[in-house]
Amino acid sequence: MRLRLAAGEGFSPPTTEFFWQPLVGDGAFAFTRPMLLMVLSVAVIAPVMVFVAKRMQVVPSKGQFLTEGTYNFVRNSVGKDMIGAKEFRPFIPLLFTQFLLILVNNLFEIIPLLQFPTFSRIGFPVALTLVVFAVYHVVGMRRHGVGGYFKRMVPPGVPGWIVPLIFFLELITYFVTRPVTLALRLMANMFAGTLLLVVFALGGEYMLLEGSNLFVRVASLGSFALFVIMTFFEILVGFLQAYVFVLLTAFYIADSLAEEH
Amino acid sequence: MPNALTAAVRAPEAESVWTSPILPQPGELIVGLIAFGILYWVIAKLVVPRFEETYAQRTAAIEGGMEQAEKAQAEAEAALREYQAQLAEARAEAGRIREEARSEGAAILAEMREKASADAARITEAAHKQITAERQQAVIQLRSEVGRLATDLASRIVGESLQDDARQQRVIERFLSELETADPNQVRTVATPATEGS
Amino acid sequence: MGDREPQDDDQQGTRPHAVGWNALSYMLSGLLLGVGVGWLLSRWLGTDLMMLVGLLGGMSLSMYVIWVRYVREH
Repeated sequence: MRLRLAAGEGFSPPTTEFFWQPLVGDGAFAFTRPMLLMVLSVAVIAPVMVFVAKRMQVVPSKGQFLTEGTYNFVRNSVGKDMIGAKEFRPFIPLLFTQFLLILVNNLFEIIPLLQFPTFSRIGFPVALTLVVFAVYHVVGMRRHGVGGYFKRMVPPGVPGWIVPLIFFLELITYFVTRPVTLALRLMANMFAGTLLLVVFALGGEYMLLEGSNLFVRVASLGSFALFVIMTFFEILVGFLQAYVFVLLTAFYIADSLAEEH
Repeated sequence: MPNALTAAVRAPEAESVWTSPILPQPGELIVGLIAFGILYWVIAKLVVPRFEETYAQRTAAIEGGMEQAEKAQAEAEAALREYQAQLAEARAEAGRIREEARSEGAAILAEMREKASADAARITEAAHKQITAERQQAVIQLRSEVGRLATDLASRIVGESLQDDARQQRVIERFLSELETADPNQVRTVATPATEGS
Repeated sequence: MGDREPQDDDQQGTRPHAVGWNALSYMLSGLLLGVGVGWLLSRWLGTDLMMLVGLLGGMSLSMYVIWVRYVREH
């Protein structure tokens, strides 16, 4: 592949260009490798979940136990805990879909052949974040009215002179930092982890194949060992980022629904 | 339009703004939205309702089990309460019996004590009476004895002079009336010189 | 049937995580607001010192809001 090609002419560390992998076409609407992975993830998740759902039993089988554990985690530990037992139900599909989609695509990072985290491409986190952004604003405005929604951004019981400052701060938080950090956190974590994996893999390969002496070639084992350790670490990161994303989604929704801060 | 093969093996140096890590490529953004939309539809329509149904069934089953357990616990508690009530009752009963016995015992004791003291009093009184009676009898006997002795003595001393009945009668009468007014002690002192004198 | 949810022991289980991440958003907002206002004041007054004042002020404001929202009320 291109990576090996790059390694051929002296070691050049991978750059951000690694993440731009168009398969068909070019430019703004090129069909890229992460797009294929995204489509693949939906093609895997949807039938599996429907299959599990169809065969649901009160006493779970092993496969059902695993999916149900995931479902109950998102439903109770995230949805119910954050939004509250009264109102969390309509948001279960949103949270569960997000969690599955992010988790599976994050795990693609370490699955052989796929080996690419879809969400390291900012377009995908932005897509999910747009949904979250729309949901928590719409839900909040429906609950409090448009005026009421903005009015309640400022918590009660603060000195009058500080109210405009807090209002601006909240405005920036609700409309800029919340969505931006939500998308960037996911993207940056997957991006950085993958970059490290690529560095260790390519570095090890380069040292092994092109090493000037035996010592350097043996030292490549260290690079591969780090690659393996990082791989396990990335599994953890994949889960954690999926969790943080749905957690914050639920938190923002809860924040918009809350009567008062 | 470049064909798929050349696109796939294009060199990494190829300049493109979409290599930027923070610039969303519209294609990826749209695919992301569509993919999310499709999966959301599947999850919301086909998956979550089934999961919720099972969840509710299981909750019901667990609650049913809990109800049963609660019932069993309530039963056990009731039994315990009953047992405790019985125990308390038995204790009260025992206490009552003990109390009864104690008061009864006290009553018996008091009665016996009373009876004993009454008996003692009665016996003492009887003894007193007997003693008095005996003394009375002794006095009477003594008096007649003394009278007879005195008469005998006097008749011996005075001789025939006292043969006169009338006189004798008078002497005896006077003597006796003197005895009457005197103490038994004096009787003895009166009698003693009389016996000594013989 | 559906309304009866078994109560979890830890009602606040995952909430602190979210509050922590959200506090980060507030800090960034404060930074943006402070630097923005500081930059405007610097241009107006012709001194770069206002940038620093704005930055510190923005951070303080963020911390105040975080305190009001998540510390004072719990």
